[in-house]
Amino acid sequence: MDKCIREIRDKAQELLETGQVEVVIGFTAGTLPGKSTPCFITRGEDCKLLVWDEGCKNNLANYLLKEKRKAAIIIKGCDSRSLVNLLTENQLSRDRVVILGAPCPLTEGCEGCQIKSPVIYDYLVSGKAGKTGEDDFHDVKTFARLSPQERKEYFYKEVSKCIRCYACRNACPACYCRECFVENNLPQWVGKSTQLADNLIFHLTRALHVAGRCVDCGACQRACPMGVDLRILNRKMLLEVKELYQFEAGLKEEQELPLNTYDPGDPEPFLAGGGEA
Amino acid sequence: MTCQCEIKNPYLPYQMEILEVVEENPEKDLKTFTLGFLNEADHGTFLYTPGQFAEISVFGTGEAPFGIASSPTEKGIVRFSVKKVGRVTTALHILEKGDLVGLRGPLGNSWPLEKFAGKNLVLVGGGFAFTTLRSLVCYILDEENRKNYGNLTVVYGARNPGQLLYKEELQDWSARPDIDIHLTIDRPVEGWWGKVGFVPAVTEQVVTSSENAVAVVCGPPVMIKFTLPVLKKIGFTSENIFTSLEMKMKCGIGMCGRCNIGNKFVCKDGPVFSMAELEKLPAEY
Amino acid sequence: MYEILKDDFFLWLKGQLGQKEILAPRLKEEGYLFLPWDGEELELTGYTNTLKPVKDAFFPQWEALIRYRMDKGKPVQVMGENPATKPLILFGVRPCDARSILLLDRVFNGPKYKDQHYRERRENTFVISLACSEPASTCFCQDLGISPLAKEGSDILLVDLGDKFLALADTLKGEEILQERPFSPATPGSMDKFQALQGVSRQAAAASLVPEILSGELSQVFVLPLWDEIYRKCLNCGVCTYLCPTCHCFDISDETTDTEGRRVRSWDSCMFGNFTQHGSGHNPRPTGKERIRQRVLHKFKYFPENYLAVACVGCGRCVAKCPVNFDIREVLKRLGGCQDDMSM
Repeated sequence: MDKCIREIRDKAQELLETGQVEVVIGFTAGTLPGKSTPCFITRGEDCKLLVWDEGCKNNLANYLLKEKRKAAIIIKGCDSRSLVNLLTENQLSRDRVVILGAPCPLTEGCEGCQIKSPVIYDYLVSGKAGKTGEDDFHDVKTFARLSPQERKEYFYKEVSKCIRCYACRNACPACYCRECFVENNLPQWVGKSTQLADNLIFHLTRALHVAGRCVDCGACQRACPMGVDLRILNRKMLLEVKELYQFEAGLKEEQELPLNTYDPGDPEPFLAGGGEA
Repeated sequence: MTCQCEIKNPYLPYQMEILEVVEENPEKDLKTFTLGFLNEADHGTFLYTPGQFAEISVFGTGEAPFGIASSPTEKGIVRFSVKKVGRVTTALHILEKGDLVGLRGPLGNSWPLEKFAGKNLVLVGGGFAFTTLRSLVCYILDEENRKNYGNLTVVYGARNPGQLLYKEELQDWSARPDIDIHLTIDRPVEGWWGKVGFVPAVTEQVVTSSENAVAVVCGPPVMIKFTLPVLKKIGFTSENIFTSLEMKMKCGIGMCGRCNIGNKFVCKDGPVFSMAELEKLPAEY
Repeated sequence: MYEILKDDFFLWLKGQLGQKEILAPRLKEEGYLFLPWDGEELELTGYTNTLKPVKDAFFPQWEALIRYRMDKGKPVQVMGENPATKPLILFGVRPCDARSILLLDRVFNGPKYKDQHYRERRENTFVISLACSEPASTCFCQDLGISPLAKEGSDILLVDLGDKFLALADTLKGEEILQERPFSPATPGSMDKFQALQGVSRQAAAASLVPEILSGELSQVFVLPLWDEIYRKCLNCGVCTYLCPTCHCFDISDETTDTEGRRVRSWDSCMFGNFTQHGSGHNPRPTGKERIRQRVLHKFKYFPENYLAVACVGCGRCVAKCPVNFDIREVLKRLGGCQDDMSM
């Protein structure tokens, strides 16, 4: 990883000093053990403060949505998939961002992760990403074997922990609605209490809204202060989309999002009598 | 460990009946609601001063704050002029005479009547922000109170005649000797009998002295912005210019934390501030 | 000063169960939470503080303030919602959180406006705190001049002395309890131990993290360049404010069916974009910059000016749980003139 961070710092410095970008979005050392923190570097000499280590867990793609300056961003595999999505959905203009791709620094990768190296980049930092395997969704499949009652109980227990701080939503690069439905008050779709019903509506609606766009980066679950298992729900949606549309989000720039398009031949097993199950 | 004294629930509203609804503009998105107390006894406890505000409850929808447009000298009623902009105001606009609403207040400080006593008053208003100025005018014009104040000059402007609030009353005031009122609209319109021009320009024209005078300005931010230099030029000091601020509010009693500017809560320390006070605060409003 | 054997204390506490509900730190999947205790053994070995702050007990995440009925053809009926007023013992509160209660009192039980719900819960609650012996790495109460042995805000503070607790009262209610058995006056040996502990924490409490500049003119603090920098990584979620023991901002909204409604107060956050957004769309705090500035200045400038105390007790929850490692301690250091690294 030494070589990797040296390359990142050099490239970032070059980009800033040659005026190709105004800001570099990356990570610097955090204040807590095991936590690196997102940073916005504007001076070449500060690039030495960049780090690329175990603590670099946040999905930085998020920050490009608000960044008005021409930016370089240092990204790992899952961030790059989010970026592809944002480009596909016309939330970013490709010429405003310089992508510095780097292999995922997390040695203990996330379960199910297939893409540890960026799928899109302008510069690719050398270094080997950890091994990845085919995602067999065994967690989702194991969960599916539980009785409906057990699944419901598990899900209710998890969602009951939620304090509705919206860290999951705000950490998610796919959640960029100008006004989220939870904040809309004409009409008010969901109550502001943390009663189970309100929490359920929030999480289920969010899961459906990011279905087919979620890249399983895990940012939502990492951001959650209450340890709600959000990933099981997202991964269930991931599997559904994969099986129904043979689609995985954020892998290729030219992909069309299956739930943003309509094809008369789309499978519709969830409609009464529709499609083949 | 029981309660030492009975604490009332500060969120419990008075029950009010809508006695009258007046459409104030041709677009019909500006209405004046006259409310009466459903329980006679409540009337005596809702004691307010011009410049204060209250929260109106539309049951089934929610609560929102509005400046009180009536004067305490108008016994038995409380009046509000409401522009349809959001959730609560839209629901309120659907209500009719005879419907019930809730009223919580009075809240906030008021126009500093004690500082106004014995002074000439210049009131400058624009658009639908004339509500608490109407309260002040009615209060001062009341027989009991008129002698306590000097000359009363009012400049009130709107985009066109249709957007002026309280049109009949404005006509009545124009005919009175104890108030000098100047109405103005942005562009000439046939049949218009008042002035034409923006509020700051008209203010400069008609207000000639700041001697022993205070000024009160209420209106859209851009109007206030251009009126202040005019008032300063005439000689008003920041200590003698007052305005009322609007912020998003919920509790109205300084607890919910959203209407502060620096360390001042608009709901509790305002909504009325002198320009001298505002100059000490950041312009975060 | 009093003392009690730990076993005797828990027996006594158990004995209170008949008349009162007891909330104590209980370890759940997500962390320690104040939850109902029915007398079984408490597992407190790994307990530094609860995940959610103690404010929940007085100012819950959501509650109904009023209720109404809208029956066809009848006038609307409006009723005040009665807060739960069951006598409560809160056991295991840390001194930082106990102090936060005193700060919330200034907001919800002010001279002019009193919040009925808060006050009734407050008057019905007896706070038994546990002094800290091993602060977490995110704790910074002592940097704010707060002792991990402070009794302020507690009815009774217990200090762990091995097989017994030293017990101190900060209220008359607490003193009355301590004067009765099974509590007994502290032995000189116990008092010596306490003084030794106090000496250590007093030394550490000398420094204050709150910089001088915050006592100065707002016009100067408000325009500091750091506000343009520190907000960028913030996600504008509500973790820091919801987990903060002193943050008290709330929303009020109506939840209704065709015939019934309740007006609900729920926690809100100055970090949220719509917190200050007018119905017209105008927003005095349109970006993260204004919102971070509001949060920092509210705690360390506005609150001290209005209520004579810093609205931060150094519990470190916001530091520990921020998804992007926004560290309020670093902000204070930078406000104090320290130009360290990029972590802010």
